[in-house]
Amino acid sequence: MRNARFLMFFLVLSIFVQTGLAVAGEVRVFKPMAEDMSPMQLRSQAMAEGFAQAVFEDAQLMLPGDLGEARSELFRQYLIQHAKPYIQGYNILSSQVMDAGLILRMNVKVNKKTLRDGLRRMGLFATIKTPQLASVTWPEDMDEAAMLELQGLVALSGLQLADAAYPSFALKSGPEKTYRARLVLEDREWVANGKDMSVVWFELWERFFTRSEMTASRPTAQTLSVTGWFSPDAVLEFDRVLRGWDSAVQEVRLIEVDMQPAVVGASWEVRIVDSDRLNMMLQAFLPQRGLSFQFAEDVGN
Amino acid sequence: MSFRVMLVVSLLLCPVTAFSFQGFVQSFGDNGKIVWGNGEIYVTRILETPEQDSGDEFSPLSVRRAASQARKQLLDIIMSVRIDSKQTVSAFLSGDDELSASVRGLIHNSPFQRPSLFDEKGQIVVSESLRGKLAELVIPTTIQFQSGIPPRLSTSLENSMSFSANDPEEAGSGATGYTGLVVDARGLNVTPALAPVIYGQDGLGAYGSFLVSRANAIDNGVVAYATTIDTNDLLERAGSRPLVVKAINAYGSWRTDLIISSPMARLVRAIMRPGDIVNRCRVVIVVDAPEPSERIELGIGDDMPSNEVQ
Repeated sequence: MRNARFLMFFLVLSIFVQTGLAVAGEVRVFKPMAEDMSPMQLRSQAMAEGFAQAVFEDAQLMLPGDLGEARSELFRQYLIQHAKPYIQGYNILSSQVMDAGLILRMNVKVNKKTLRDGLRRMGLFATIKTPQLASVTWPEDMDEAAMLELQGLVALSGLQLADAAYPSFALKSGPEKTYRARLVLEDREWVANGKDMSVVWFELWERFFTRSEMTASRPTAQTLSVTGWFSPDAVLEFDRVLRGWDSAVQEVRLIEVDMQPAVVGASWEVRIVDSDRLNMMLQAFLPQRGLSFQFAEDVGN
Repeated sequence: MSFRVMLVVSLLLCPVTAFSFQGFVQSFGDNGKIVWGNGEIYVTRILETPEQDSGDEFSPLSVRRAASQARKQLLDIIMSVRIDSKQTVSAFLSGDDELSASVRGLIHNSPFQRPSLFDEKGQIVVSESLRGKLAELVIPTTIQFQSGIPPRLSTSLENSMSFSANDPEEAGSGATGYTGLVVDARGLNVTPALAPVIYGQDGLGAYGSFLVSRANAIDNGVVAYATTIDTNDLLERAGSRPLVVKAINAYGSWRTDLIISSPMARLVRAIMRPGDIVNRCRVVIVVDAPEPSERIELGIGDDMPSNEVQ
């Protein structure tokens, strides 16, 4: 009977975890009306900025450091075109059309798991505290707009340029206004081509930032055990809270719920990205709820 | 230890909430209450007395039982809170299972105080705040915050209500210098709500969610409720120089909204420009104090309620 209840609990938990990955947040954007812009275009651009804003705000919470003003703006601009894969759902709360433009208020659900993965692929986790040394070359006849875009991508990826450094990124012009690019490391290389420079850029750099050596340098997994609850529902709620502390802890996985007659405890496998911040958050949340916690070091992988 | 050092230590140890504005305290039975000044909700529970041969300690099971019962009562209190004239929290959540589960989850993890070492009765306290996370969940996103469009009652009330000859004839020009708004609604049997509307007698909204942002409403509450008109007591919420207005009547089947005279409503609209009053929701509604038998005193220095269960 108790096993059946446990099974039911974990079924409910798995549903909760699946749906709990996305949390809705409210954003408000103003998009000024431009010449020759139709109301449909205005609305569509306002929505794109709303999505970008929502994803940007969640990313800021997730990253274990500050991107800085210039890099933040580059990232926000990049997201205006590329935020959609991270959007799980949205609803428009209000839309106010004025002569000057459109004020849009939206509730946007961002898929945090996809976003975390995206940030890792873009190298933002790897370069948030220390820039990545690299060399970048480009065609001599590249126009000013393309040059600016390339400089923006270098800054967004957190690269510090140095001559003859590896990884080495070489951009060349291809046929019909396409780009061909090559990323060379000491022991391997990747190539990509396409019309959109940013797509070509991130296609190559994502291979660099997700290669096995990079993954191996991730923070080690630890076990966080918390006890003092009176109900398994409270464990589920804390699981949701813990998953929201992206700037301190990532890859949160509930591994055990211990239901004693008088008290309920639970353990999570977590990767700690900022232990001071995590300790501060745990101290602020748990003791005032009658809960205590402890860590067990390195649980492998 | 010198007196000065003792004073500093006392101030450091004294919880911040002891000084926060408490206002109208609504009781639920003899062990639950909502402090409408700062939005805190408390439920206390006395543990079952331990058997004589089991020692002095309260058993963990009795703590769990009491905490579970207290949190159930806390949830019941939250469910009974009126959001506005149309609905309660319970009615709002009834159509949304996911949201209901989130509220329940929040309550299961609400602040909890075990019996202290010197507490012979064995009292536990659970609490939650109507501001912040809970407000985010229970205030419907369909409410048009900061729309700037005042709601309008279906009919003007100017003809149906008595008009006080003492009200100023024209208002609006002297609207500078006010730090907040205090609406005296004593004697009107008002029901506290999370998002009440203050209407003018002309039927047009003068203050409410249409003026404040959702974020500010969540952080501060659209209004606070108090039982005194003494502006010194309302300083924290309404500032040093609030505009004090007498409500003519309460409106709605649950009497959550208020009607003020048309000239006063014009003055209120004039002071509700973007700024500190609107940003910090510096509005207090003064309601009748509870009957002495129901009254629960919160002593200075108490960070948790001190009412006793008989």
